[in-house]
Amino acid sequence: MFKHVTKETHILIVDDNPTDRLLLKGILKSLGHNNIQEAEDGGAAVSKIDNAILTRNGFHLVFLDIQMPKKGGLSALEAIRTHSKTQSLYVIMMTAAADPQNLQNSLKVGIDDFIVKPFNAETIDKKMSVFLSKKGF
Amino acid sequence: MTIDMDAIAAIKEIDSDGSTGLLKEIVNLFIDSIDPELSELKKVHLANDRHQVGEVAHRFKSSCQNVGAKNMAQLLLKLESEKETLSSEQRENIIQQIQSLAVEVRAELKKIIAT
Repeated sequence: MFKHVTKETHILIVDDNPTDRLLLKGILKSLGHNNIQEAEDGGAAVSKIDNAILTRNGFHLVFLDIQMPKKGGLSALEAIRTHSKTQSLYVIMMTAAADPQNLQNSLKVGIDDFIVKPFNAETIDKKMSVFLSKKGF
Repeated sequence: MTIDMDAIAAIKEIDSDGSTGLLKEIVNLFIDSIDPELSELKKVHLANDRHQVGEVAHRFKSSCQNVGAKNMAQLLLKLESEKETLSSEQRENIIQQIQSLAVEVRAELKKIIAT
């Protein structure tokens, strides 16, 4: 694994599981991405995304877990896709192998990519490379 | 061996020089979460709230996978994926197995981060 040489990417990790957030953050930092924020459910994520727009420091990428209490990943995704300022935000959905139906539903709403849990550094490295290439970082 | 050492090696690889203490941080976070997660699982099981049993099992399973507690993860997957069909007795039995495994997992993980 090599560090990604890019201009700074602003990343949001949305997951109710603290160990998942910590692991993903550790992997992203090892790849050279240090501008990372976290949210523990879809509602908190949408608030953070809205605040980031207001402060003109919008996110470039969101890792969004599907299955969360309160506002889940699908509801958050719908909110992101219906807001004119976030509808093209790059979203990588995180799903467990056990819930293919949720993945099908999120594909309908519109995700850019997905990862199946448990994830590892190699998977995240590949997904980040695709994102950076598509977004021209 | 109750821990899949490949999962531990994968975390070590992220922090290859150990400078960020990532493994210790993840393992400690997991160990601290065991009792609250088990307590929540028992609570929703006793309330016969099948949906919440699935939700808690789903979240706890993911943590177990991260630290290589694969036997615990497999039992939690069973609770999650069969939440609508398992009887109360079957759920009770699975939760007891998870509790027993958790004792071993906790001890083994403590040894791993101490070395």
